[in-house]
Amino acid sequence: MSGNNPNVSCPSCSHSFTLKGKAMTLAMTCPNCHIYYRRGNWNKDITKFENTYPQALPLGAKGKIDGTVYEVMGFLVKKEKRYKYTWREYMLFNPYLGYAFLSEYDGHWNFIWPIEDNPKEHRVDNSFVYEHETYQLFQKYNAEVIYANGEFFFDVVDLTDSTLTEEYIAPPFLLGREVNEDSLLWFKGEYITEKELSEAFDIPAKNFPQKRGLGYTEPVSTSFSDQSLIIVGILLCLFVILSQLFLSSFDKNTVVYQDTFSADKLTSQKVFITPSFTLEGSSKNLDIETYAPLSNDWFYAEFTLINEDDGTEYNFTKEIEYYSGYEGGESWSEGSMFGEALLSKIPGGHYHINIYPEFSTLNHEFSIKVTRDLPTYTNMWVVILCIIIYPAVYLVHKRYREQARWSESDYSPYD
Amino acid sequence: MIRNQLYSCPSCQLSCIARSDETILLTCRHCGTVISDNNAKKYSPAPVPEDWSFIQIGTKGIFNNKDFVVIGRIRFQLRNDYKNCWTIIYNDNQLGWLIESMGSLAIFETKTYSLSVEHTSKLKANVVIKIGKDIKVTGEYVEKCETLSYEGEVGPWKDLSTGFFMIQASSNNGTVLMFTVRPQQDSLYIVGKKTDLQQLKLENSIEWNEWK
Repeated sequence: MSGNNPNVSCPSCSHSFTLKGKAMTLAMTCPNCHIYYRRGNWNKDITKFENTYPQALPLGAKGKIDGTVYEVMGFLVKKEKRYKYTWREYMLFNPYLGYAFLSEYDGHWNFIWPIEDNPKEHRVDNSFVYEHETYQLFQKYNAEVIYANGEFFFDVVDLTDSTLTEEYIAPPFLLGREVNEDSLLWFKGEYITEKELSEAFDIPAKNFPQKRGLGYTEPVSTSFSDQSLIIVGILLCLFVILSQLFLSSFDKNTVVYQDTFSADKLTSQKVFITPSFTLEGSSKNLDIETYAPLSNDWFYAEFTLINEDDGTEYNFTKEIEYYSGYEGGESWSEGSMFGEALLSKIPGGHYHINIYPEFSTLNHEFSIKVTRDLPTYTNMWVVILCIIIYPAVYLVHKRYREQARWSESDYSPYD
Repeated sequence: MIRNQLYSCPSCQLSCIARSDETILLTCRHCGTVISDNNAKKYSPAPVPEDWSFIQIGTKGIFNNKDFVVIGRIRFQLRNDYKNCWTIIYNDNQLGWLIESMGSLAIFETKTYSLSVEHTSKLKANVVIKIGKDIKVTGEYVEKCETLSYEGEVGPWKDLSTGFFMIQASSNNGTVLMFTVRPQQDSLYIVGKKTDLQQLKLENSIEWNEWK
């Protein structure tokens, strides 16, 4: 820093040093004996910390965050009074924007700055909307400073000790409300990645604490919103459906043969041979629908579709069962009197079908209907399923991650 | 003091001109000696300590479509904060306050209002109070003034001594009230609007190049 900085003398060891924050520094630690003390007249107490803690960002380091250059002025380790967990805060300074903080817990970082608004104002509920984001109460806590190093623009030890903090989250953002007898302060924060921080301060990311779990403001995905994902999914599905309807309009859906067969006309070879029928055009699908008037009965047949031009055979079987009854005051049924076989890519030509039926003792007839170029929707449903799978898996995964995030909160909406 | 009157510095005899009738003191731009009207209250020298403010005497800006220039300041050192109350003079010769602290900016009128002891006792952080018919504000902080210092041409601050409590209260529409409170006394307050650097379009401010 430039300028004619004031010198101060440590009240414990008399070590003289220059304040980087000039007249703005109101509390500090001695670089020699590491005690914490205040500059004003209202409190001459000296605080000695039991332990020292490593800091990832050294005092005096400068970094550019959101286009603004900040300098690290002070480092704090805070401990929550009830659950006893600790986290680290770095006080940053820029002469045009004032102070800000970088807060780190379990390797997850938030950039935090004071705001002039009162986002919650007179509301008392745990959820509210601010700047189009819905914030939910994540935690309320009282904390204490267990270690400090550097310079501070306010008495961080006393203020932390007397302040109740509420934190509301809408990942990657957070809003904090700090209240004590003498002040009400709102701050806003945003999750910042190790990579962004490493680039901002030109410090290798390996020097930062190792990341564990999901940060309480860490976004599950930063590249798109749930809403945009759902909208894109719906639009893609609509596109596929409309495309299918458009393409289906060209399908001829022509019945090329249909007939009914009775058991008493079965030849000694136990086969029905259909008359020859013609399939027009190039390779297209062929649907063979079988119907048998069953009642608590079954029907089975083997089919051979024979291309009379080149002798190619297409074999398939079809078994139909239909049962119904009345039991315990309710009627029931299972199975169907219809069966369907769809053969794809059948070339044009002259064909007939050999049918080898097996009749039960009750049923003695069946019929078939052969349809050429039938519109099919199987491919459409496969594509739609593929489109839906990603958002579905993503949303399930996100819910799982959200539950994990809120598992550390006393105010979880998942409880 | 009297507008456009020349005042001679009692120490170095440099001539200084008051730019407003509302000015309560001047400091000599050469030696820093306090110059006050012969008939007015005498003030002791209280040089402003060096801080990181980017505003300085001579900084120009615009507020409510009126040009202004900074002509002086009072710096209040609070227990956990500070307030630089810059005296500004608009191009129609009216005075105002540009109050700055840690990047937070607000413009106040110099007109001072009074609040009774009874109402003053309700002024606390995180408490909503109603002032008059229209203003409803939430207390933001209560800070005791430890020391004060001044430079340049200082506008009509009514209580230029330490020991009072400074209370800031504001509403979500940006209205902000600054109270000076002493125990068992009516409080004084001024009314202003929160603003920011972009709106003020400041010129001739200090360029801290190492922060760019």
